[in-house]
Amino acid sequence: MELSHLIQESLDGDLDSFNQIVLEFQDMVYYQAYRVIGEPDAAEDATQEAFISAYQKLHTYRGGSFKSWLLRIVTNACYDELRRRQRQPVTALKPEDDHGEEMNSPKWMEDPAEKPEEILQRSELSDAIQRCLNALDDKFRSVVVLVDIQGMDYATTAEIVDRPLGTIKSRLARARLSLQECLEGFAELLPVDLRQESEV
Amino acid sequence: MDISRRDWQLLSEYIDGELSERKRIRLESRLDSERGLRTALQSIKKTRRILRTAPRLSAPKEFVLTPDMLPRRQKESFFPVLRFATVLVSMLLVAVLVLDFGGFVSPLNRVEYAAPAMQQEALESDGDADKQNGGEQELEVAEEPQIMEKTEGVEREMAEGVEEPEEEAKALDVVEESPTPSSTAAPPTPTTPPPTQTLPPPIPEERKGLPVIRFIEIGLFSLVVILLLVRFLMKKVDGDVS
Repeated sequence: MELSHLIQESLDGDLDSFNQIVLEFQDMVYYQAYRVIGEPDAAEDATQEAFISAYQKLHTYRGGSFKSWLLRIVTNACYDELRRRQRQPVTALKPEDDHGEEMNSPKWMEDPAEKPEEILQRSELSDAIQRCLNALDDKFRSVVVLVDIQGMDYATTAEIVDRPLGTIKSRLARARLSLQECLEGFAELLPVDLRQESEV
Repeated sequence: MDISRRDWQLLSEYIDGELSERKRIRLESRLDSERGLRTALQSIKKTRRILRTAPRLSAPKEFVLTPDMLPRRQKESFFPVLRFATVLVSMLLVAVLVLDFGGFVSPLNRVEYAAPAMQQEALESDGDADKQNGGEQELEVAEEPQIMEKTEGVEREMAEGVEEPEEEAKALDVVEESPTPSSTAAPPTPTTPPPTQTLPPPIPEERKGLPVIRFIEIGLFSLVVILLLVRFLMKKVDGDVS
């Protein structure tokens, strides 16, 4: 069924139609939350809150990119979650396995087609990226995640975070500079082509 | 990094194709001649590539909604009611203000404002009458504006209030009758007419404060402020996503 039909039926109170939208966008929403918050459990909470909020605010959607509209909601949910965590700091940064041990590579990150060493390297690179993202201020992190990870353009990003275009440009440049400096420390984790590029 | 932050931002915008034509041409000519700028460009491109090739995570579970997850749904239907109430109370407030300051309000309220001043005036003229022993004319003059603005209600109050001045007069008589060193020596002076007729009617306690219309205005204004505050807080709690 088309997205516009699902939205209309959701507006009429059909929760099943809205849940089809949830299933369609949950990976993108969760990924955004995970990269902005940097902690799986909190990202899950923010994702769930974002979908609840989206259902309640569906009447405010005025057409255009539904993905952008949803990203705006999840970004706000992430800010709320980050504010809540600042008030009540949480120490666990990585998911735990059945024995309570921290996992470097959660199962949902695994691709069965990959070799174990590739999985390890990929998860380590993902961890390294997340560590560098976590070192950024929240407002810089959300911008760089939207542009460089979600692939949004500047104008859409400005709309999502509700800031002027100039602010987006400056925040993105500063975030990229910090990330570039941070990622230099993880050069050995980079894919071969990127490693060679840096040696040139 | 050897380049300035400004140049770094230019490069950042350049790789995303967000530079204007003029800026892009100028930057490209600088890239041809400045090696540091070229190195920085490679570096920023690489950073962006790393982020874009970062492994994407799938949702660890399904985030489908169930009816029990939506307890705040009712709040939505409350917003229009709240908005209607705010508009209604605001309109009422404006109407009352227009009635009050536009001169449409009953003269009764204006008498209430004037009463304390007139009472003071009357007392002053009464004092003069005592001294000059011919103040009845002045008192009549002083009473003129009062008479002009009186309504039936005020007249009724005046009629009811006749007894109180008599009591005051009695009290004055007692003071005058009490012996003083001068009164014992001097022959008794003729007493002035009792002040019953000269004293203005007392103002009942409940009418000395703000008039009723003021209380209505203050009440309506407070209600508007409270309604706006509640709406603002509810929106804030609900999360501003639109």
